[in-house]
Amino acid sequence: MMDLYAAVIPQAPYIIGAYGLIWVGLLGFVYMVFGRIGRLEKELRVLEESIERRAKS
Amino acid sequence: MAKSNSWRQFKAILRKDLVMELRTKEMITSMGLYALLTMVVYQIALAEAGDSFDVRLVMPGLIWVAFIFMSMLGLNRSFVHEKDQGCIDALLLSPVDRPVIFFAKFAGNLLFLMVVELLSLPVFSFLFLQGRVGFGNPVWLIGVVLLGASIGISGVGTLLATMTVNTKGKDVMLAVLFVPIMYPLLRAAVGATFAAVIGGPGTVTTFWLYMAWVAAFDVIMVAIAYALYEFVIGV
Amino acid sequence: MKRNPLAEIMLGLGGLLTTAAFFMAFFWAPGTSYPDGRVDFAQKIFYFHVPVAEASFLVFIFTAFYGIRFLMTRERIYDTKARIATEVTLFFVLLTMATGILWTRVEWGVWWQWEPRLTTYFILTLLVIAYFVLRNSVEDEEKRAVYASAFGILAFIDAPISFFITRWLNSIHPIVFGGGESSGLETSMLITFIVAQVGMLMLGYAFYQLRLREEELRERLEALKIEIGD
Repeated sequence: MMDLYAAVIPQAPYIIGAYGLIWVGLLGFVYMVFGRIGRLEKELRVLEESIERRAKS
Repeated sequence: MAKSNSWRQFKAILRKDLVMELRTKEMITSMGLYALLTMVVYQIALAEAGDSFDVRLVMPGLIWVAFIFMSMLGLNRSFVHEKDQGCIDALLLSPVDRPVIFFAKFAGNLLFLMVVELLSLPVFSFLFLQGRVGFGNPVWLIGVVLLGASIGISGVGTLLATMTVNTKGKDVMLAVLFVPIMYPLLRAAVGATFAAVIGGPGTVTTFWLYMAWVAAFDVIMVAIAYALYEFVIGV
Repeated sequence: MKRNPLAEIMLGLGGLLTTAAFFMAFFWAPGTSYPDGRVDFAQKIFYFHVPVAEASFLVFIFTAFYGIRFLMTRERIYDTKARIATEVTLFFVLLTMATGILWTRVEWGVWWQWEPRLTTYFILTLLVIAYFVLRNSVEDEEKRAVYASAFGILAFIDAPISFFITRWLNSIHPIVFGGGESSGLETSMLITFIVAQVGMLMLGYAFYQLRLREEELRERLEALKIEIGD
């Protein structure tokens, strides 16, 4: 068991770093794209509504 | 009939470039001067290395660094001329086949590049290699590398320079696109030059292996450059 | 605006599979050890580093593919698709580089080594970045699309070189599949790897579709704005 810890502990920061980067990267990408899509959809709705209002009046 | 027509057009464009160069000598002097300046920089780089340092070990790398930057200077120049004087536009209006334009510019750039390379290589040996042991293998092998690599450089360079001359950065943009695309060719060219310079058992085989790599790059990349040229030049 | 249900399904499935692969890698797949018996914990990076790298190569194919499609049809949508594919490639390339560098530090003791695979992959990174630098420096829209397509096709040539170079030259980069006696994996490791790989490819597809949807929305918005402005 001591052997296991001796090997794992010095290597751990790099493995945690690698997996951390991947998770942060993937989640960050999804979060950013969804955020932008949400904003764009909202803007589109506002614009479409204003166009409709103008068409009615 | 069509074939001989293309050949005439090819010769006409090439002659135009050569005549202009003979009149102004602009390309050859600027590229040659650039090569000389690079050698001054090399002197600075090697200044503290001492006399026991064998320059032949880094010489292949040094000459290809000089040649790659020199070739970008020449390529950029050759298309800036075309653009400033409206040559390309005039060529596109005239009934010249698009592939002919590619091959004529390719041949012109190859010619200028080879001339400056062949002029600057003896100067390089004169400045850096005097008193050293001579080349390990026959000198003509270096000529083979020069030709092989220059074909790839001018072929792909013709396509890339045609593009970058229309961008904001021009010469900087050419470097950004050109150097990474050229990496496999340059690596093989340095390997082949090294084998030719150092000599010794087995180096001739190594040399031809690297040359096969150079040849493969030339065939594939120049074919792709040729196929893409038609699209790039029209817009 | 039509949603793309497939993209969201793929995103969910991809997330699920990669998460599953993460747990499989640490709790199911056997650990490997060095010849001297020490435990090789860093090998766990393999389960994500390789799928991300393979995904970067595969997505890059679409840059070249849509580049060719654009040059043949001159339809703007193909240029947009090629650009998005290159964006996703850049994202995967950066993740590959980051995980690779950390793995190299553990296994080889250095952060960086100029060996064939790393060198050609570094060149690939530069090419993908150069693609965007080129786009930014051309103002005319049609020229930008044509140049980017041409450069994307030319740049793609480096991907197969980088992929196969460890099999052609002497490289210290490990060859896990089809690289002679010492290569190959135990079944549980292989299954973990495949789960991670499939999940990552699904994520790649989902990212591409999501970005495409974003671009479509943006274009529609611009069109509407122009309409209102008149």
